[in-house]
Amino acid sequence: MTLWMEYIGQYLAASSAGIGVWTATSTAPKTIYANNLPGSTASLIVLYPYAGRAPDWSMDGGVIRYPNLNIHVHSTASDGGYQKSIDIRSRLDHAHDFSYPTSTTAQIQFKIIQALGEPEYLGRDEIGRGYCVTNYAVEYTT
Amino acid sequence: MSTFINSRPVYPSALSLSSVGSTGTFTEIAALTNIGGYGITKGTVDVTNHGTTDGYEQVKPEGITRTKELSFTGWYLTTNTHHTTLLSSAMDAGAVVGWKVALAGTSSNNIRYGDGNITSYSLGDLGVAGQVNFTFTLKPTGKPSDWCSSTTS
Repeated sequence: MTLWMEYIGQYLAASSAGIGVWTATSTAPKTIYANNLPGSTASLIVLYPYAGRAPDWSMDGGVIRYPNLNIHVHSTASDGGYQKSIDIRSRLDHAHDFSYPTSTTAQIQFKIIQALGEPEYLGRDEIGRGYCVTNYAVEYTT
Repeated sequence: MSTFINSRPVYPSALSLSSVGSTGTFTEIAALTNIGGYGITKGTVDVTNHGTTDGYEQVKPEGITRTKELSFTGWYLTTNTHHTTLLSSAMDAGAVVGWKVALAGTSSNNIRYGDGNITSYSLGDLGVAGQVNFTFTLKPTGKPSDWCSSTTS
């Protein structure tokens, strides 16, 4: 089963701003990951879910979930990934009312995504890439 | 699967106004940050009588359906004529305006519209930081539409 942050990875990859690649092709390697920092030395984006807040339920089993999302940008660019983080924020902040998968019956609907602040530069990672983090609040139903 | 996948998000809902009532052309009010929820109430009269065998009170609906005053908040834009003059001048003139609230999401039973009067207009307090905001209220008059998918204009 595809996890909610994996759908957000797909949503980022679908941006016309060229944020990154979720599904690798013969010419474009994968650059957006979920819950996993690969051993690659290339610039890449990793999505990590974290607690957020408790869900709302209805008595008949409906649920709205409010997780948070931590997006790490590891970048070899001279700005340390700050511009890439801004591009991601432009794509995600107040993104609303979109569903996945798009090719078959929707399994998840994102009500709204809100940036919880600005991208934060955390210095360099263990292999010298710039390292930026931005947090988001996500609201979705299934 | 939960049953909420088709529930409606609140963002981005919209308020539109028409200067000539609900049959006019609606213009969306820019930069709103909060749109008051529509509501109606109905009173009851007590018709309990000595023929009541079970001891429970009996009521019937009272004649008038009361409509909730709608309140709105937004960021004040000096380039927007609704913000600068049209809202307050409609109140000054006692003019009936058309109002339309559209819920976010797909166009299915997401619109309610009707006539009303602007009943207050106020600029927010000016602190040392942040944006200037404003609020206004609108009292519906007459029966608005039910939830529908489009207006007639």
